[in-house]
Amino acid sequence: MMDVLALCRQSPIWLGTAHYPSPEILQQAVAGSGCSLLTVGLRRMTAQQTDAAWFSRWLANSGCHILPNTAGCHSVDEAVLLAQVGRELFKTPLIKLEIIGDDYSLAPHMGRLVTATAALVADGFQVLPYCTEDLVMCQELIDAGASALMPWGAPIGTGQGLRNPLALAELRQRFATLPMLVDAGLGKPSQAAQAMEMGFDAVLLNTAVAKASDPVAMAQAFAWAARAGRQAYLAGMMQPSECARASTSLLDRPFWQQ
Amino acid sequence: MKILLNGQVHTLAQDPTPLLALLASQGWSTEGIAVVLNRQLIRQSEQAQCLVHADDQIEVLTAVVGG
Repeated sequence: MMDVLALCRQSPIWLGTAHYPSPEILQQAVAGSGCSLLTVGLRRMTAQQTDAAWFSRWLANSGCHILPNTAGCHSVDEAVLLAQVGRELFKTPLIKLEIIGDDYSLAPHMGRLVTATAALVADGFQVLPYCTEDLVMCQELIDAGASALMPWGAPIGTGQGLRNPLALAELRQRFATLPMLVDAGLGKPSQAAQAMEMGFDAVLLNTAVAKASDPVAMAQAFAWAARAGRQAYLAGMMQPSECARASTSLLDRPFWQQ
Repeated sequence: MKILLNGQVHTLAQDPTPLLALLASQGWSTEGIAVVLNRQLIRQSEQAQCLVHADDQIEVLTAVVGG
C-alpha cells in the first residue's frame, strides 16, 4: 500500500507530463519544484513508434512516483482495463481514475467513477478519482474505497482556478482526514495557494506549468505558492470580520483633548 | 488470417501466430508495452506463451505524456 498523504507531504505539487517543450524542460521543472509524483497517460503504440521504452525509462529515472491515468475513458469497463494496463507497466497500485461524462467540458462521470472505484478497489488498486466537488457523490466514492479525492478546480486545461471555492472548502471540511488534491483547472500559483489554504493536501498541475513561457520557473512558483498555502493552513488563519479593528492602540493618542 | 491490431485490420500468414512474432513484425520490443488481447490483459510474464488467432483483437499500449 502506498501512503497517499505521505506523497502529498513529500511535495504539495504533482505534475502532469504533457505539453512540455521537451523532456529536458520537464525534467528541470520536476527538479526545480521538488515534485514527487508524475502522471502519465496510456495509449496505443503507433506504427512509427519503435522504442516505447524510452519514456518508461525516463520516468523510472525521474526520481518520482508514477501515477498512470485512465484519461479518455468513457465507460467503467474501459477504465478498469486501462487501470490494469497501468499497473502492469508501472507496478504501482495507484491509479488516477478518469471517466469522462461530457466531452465538451471533460466533466467526470461521477456515477461511473463510483462503480469503477469499487471494482478497482476489489482488485487491489488504490484509486484516486478525478471528480467534481459534488458532496454526495464524493461520499459515495469514499464508500466505494477511494484512497483520495481529486476534485477539479475548473475544467481541464482552462486555467480558471477554483470555480466553486465554497463547495471545495466544504468538501475539505467534511472529509477532513482523507487525502484530497485539487486536480485540473489551476492557472496561477495564487490559485494553488488558495486551495492549500483551504486544507487541500496537494495540487495536480499540468497545462499551467507546461504552457508557461518558462515552465521551470513556473513550476517553482507553484511549488512555493503551494507550500505557502499549506504553511498558512497549518498556522491557523484569522477569521474575516465585518468591522474594522485598529492595529495601533487607540489609547494615548497624541493631540487628543479630553 | 485477419486480426485487429490497435483498431486496424492486419493480415497474418500464420494461424495461430505467436504474440512476440506479431510484435516483432511491427518493430516493437516487449519493453515498455502492455498487451490486451480480446479485452484481457496479457501479463508480461505470459506474453511469450501467448498465441494470436484469427479475428482476435489486440491492443498494444504504452505510456505517453499525460496529465
